Amino acid sequence: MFFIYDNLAATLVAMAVMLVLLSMQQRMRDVSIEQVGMYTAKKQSLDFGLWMRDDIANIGLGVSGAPVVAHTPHATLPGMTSTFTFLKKLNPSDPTPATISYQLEEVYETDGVTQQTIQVDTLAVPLFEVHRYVNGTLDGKSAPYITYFAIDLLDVNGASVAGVLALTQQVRMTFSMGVPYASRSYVRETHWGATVQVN
Amino acid sequence: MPQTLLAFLAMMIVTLLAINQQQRVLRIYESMLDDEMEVMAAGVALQALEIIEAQAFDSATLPVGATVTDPSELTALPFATNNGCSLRGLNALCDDVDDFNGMTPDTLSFSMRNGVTYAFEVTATVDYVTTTGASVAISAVPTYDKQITVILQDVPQPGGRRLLFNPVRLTRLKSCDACS
Repeated sequence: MFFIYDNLAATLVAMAVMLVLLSMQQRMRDVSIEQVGMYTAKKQSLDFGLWMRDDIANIGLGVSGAPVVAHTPHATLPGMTSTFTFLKKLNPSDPTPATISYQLEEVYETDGVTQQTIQVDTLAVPLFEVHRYVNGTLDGKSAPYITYFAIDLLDVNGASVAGVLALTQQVRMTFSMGVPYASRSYVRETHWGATVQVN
Repeated sequence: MPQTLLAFLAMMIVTLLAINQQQRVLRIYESMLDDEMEVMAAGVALQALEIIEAQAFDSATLPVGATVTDPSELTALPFATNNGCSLRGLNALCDDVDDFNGMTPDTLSFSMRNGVTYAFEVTATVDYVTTTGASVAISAVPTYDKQITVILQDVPQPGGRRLLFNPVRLTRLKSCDACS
């Protein structure tokens, strides 16, 4: 104790140095967690995006008429798509094309009633997942972190077909995915988009 | 006195370390943002490429059904530039891909939640190319292949700052179907 009192100034300086070093270590740990969260979201986002793009890129394959069957905007969330259904042959040898449907489904807490959310800035953003159905049977889905999902049907010049499905020449896909631990993250959402030509 | 000097030195070193760490964190954040912007820009670039590629190969292949039997019948170099082409609602002047060469930058947006959009400035260049195996070389004379390159840069933030470190460039080849 006498030693500390004898070197009071040095002790205070040493404590200050230790405090700064500890806070630096804490900060780097937080940034590392952010990077892992961001990497996870990015990987899930790219995996899902490329998988969906490859699927939709062959829209209308082996179909004689208009390949887009249904496109339903979300009832309450502006710009988002609830259902997108189209036809294509999964294999060239198939006698008839398959009906493939992408549907946006809410993600619920374990109570089955409350929709899960993710904190982005001051907003609690609802979470979704996108399900893919082939002839009515579930055949794959995205990670349950989708915060925005839009399929836009465009004509040859990139303008909206405004509900006339037969005019569809291009399909633009856009979605956003929440980053895990978003409330502590600098980047809260990751985004992905692509446009493909209809066969 | 030596104790004071040592304390001063310790504080100086720790301050330098803290500044260094803060700069590193800032670089990590900027890099994260740049990655995000690149993916979004690539999505918008694909849309621009689809719109341009959907046009005719050359004015000589219009109207639909017209055929070309010799490359000399195609539009001669250099291509005209700045002819008012837009990627949002085309006009009659922009009905084949080389019309978009050197176009005045147009703005295309990436859509996000709650109707928020992020705007990118898009321009394009078009060249005749020769293809040998996997290699592509720009040609000084007309050929039956054109290379479309779209270049995107984000619209500056207030204060003139851009979030994309470098413009994003995407390239696609379009071959002439009506040429023989």
